[in-house]
Amino acid sequence: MERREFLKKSLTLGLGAGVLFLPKGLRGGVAKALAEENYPDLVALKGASPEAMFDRGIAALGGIGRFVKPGQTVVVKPNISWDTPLDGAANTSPALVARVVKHCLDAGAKRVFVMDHSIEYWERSLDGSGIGAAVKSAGGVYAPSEDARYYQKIDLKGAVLQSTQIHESLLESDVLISVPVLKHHGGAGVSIAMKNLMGCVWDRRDYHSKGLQNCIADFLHAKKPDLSIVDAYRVITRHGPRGGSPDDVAEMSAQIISPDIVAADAASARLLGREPADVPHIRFAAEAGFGQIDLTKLKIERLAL
Amino acid sequence: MLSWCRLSVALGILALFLRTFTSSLQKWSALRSALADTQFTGALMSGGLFSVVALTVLIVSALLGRWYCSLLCPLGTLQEVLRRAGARLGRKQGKYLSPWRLRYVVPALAGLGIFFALPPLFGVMDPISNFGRGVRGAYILAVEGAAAAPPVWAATGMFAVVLAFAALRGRRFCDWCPVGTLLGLFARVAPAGMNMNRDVCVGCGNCERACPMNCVDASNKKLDRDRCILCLSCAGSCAVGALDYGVRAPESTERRALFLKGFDLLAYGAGLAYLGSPVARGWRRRLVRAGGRENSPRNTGPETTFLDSVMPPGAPNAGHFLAHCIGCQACVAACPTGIIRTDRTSRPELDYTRGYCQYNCTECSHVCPAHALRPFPDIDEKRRTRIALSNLTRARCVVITRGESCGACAEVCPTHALRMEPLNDAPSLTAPVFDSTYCIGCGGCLNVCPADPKAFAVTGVTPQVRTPGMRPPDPEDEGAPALPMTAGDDFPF
Repeated sequence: MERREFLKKSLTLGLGAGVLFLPKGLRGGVAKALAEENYPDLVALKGASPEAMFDRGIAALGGIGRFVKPGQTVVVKPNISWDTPLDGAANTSPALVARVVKHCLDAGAKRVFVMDHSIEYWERSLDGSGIGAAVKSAGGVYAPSEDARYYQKIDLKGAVLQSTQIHESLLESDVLISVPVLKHHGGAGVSIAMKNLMGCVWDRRDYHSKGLQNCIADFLHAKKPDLSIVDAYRVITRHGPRGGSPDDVAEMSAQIISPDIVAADAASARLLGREPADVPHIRFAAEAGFGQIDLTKLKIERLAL
Repeated sequence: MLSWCRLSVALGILALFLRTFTSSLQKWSALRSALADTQFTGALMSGGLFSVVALTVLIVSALLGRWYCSLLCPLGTLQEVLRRAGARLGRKQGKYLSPWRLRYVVPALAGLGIFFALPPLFGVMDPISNFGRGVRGAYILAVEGAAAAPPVWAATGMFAVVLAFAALRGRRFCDWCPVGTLLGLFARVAPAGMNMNRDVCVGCGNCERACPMNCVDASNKKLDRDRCILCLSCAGSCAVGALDYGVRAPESTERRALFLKGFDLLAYGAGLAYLGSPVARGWRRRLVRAGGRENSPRNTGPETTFLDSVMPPGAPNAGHFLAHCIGCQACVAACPTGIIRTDRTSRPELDYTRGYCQYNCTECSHVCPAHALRPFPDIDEKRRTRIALSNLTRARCVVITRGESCGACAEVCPTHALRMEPLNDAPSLTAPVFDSTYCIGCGGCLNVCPADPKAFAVTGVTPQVRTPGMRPPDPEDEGAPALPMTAGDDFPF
């Protein structure tokens, strides 16, 4: 045994033994912290179907059970904004959404809600994207999101957003998972996990009038997702977020998964050829301490399947 | 027994009408369309005499009597429901009402609407329009309360009067109904109808009290054949079986009566032939022009004329739209985003403050029974059709006025008529650039614009012309270069 390795092991053992003598509350925290040391901060995958990449990626992060405990209520927030077909890439892949829902249920989640305040008429977006049927078959529940009565006013300490109405499912759930599709966005620059959360609020126009970039980052004061899964299988690289022409879509066959929403957004922005710090809302969120924008400081697991 | 069967069918149809006229969910769209298509006036407007539905209703009425009124008319059945409710609440017993001598005046006036091809005039008394306006009006009042527009109050008020009369006096509207009156003229010569056997009748008056049309006269042992809608209530109420439906015994074999019957038939045929003739179409065009909707203070060319309101998609031009729309509100009920509202003459117009016209949606043009909105042959045609024209005032845009990122308008613009392009003096910001060639006037940009006042104005156009469709990508557009991800196993981080 090398000297260095011996020291490392003794230290670990010693710490482990020490934990046993800690008060009960602290013990769990330290054990958890120790365990999380071994997981990557971010998993980047490429070269397989969205659902296969998710299976592999979430395993690398320790399984969905790390984020979803038995009996918990989960909200999965995909992008269901548009009544456009699958290859239009304006919405999250239905197969991926279904797989995320299934993983949560398998981990013992009591209920898995899927919601999005869609931009086009909700019934059409749900049908056209294929997500409505996919969620149903996976055992999830689409939480009605088309009316103001499903949203509740909350106060938050954002830079410009001091109050907004957020969907009731977010207030009643334990876990929030953002499952965006990566795409170019004419106004916000990019649309990734953070921009995706704009679909959790009722008054979108309020964001635009108060300052879009600040509001997108400010939402994290209200609720920060426990996990972000960025679908970069088909990506709208221009004329986003709706796209429309096949020429606007690139097949990247990639996926980014991270518990850190800022890191997920930063890595995904790079996939679009954008420097994370040049996207104001990613920079604002990092400055507010919501996550790591500097990708060199992250432990990244890169998987080509 | 038979009377209960009739009532059950009628109530079922009424229930479906009420459901589909108060919900825009997609699962109802096929049913709503089918129901609207059963209605006589819509059919008459859509195809005149060549409409299968209109022709069938007329032939059935001329042979078998007014079954249309007792089975298919939702307004008629609704009046019967109210009448029954009124009976529970202590309404006076029904009594024979002799036909008023001037009772043809109102239907005839309404009929002038058809003669001159002015549907709004006709629509005032048209049964399906009254039903649609009333139900939608009540629905909107329930949702919006006092904030509802005056036309909504007016329509609901008229509906309330009709229903109040029904609760107190039975199907009184039907005596003034132009459709019922027309079908009554046909029923007068029908070989089948209700028969009252004078020898069996004991004159108890049950039938007279049971008749929702108040057209049975028990003391004189007769009934008015043209007013009878064949609801069979009288037969159901008769203890001795003196009333039944079947081939009618001739009331009179006098030559004069036979001559009148022949004259009737001839007159009806002539009237209907007129409706299908080019003369009626000519009137239609002239009156629409005189109606002044096509005035064009902002006319920009020989093709497009601006309107002061936006017609729903599928109206080929204002003339056609005005000449066909009876104001039945089927499109209002069908619109998933609820942006179709009614103007003073109960015709639909789009209100972009409530939402915008969905790119892939053809519910309104699909449901229109009068073909005032023509169905699109395919979804691509709808996506290309310009119903209005937007106009961008860049000086009001929040990107320009406040230096904030936005892009809400370009986000919803389905044809890329609006695109975000980098600002010259602040390249990190993108501002909307508008190319009207591709604008279809869906109103999305206006609806979502956060600026106050809005940076967009949208104006209705006639005719609704075909645009080139989706604006093709510009090779120099942002984001077009090859992506770092496309080659190799490396990630760009």
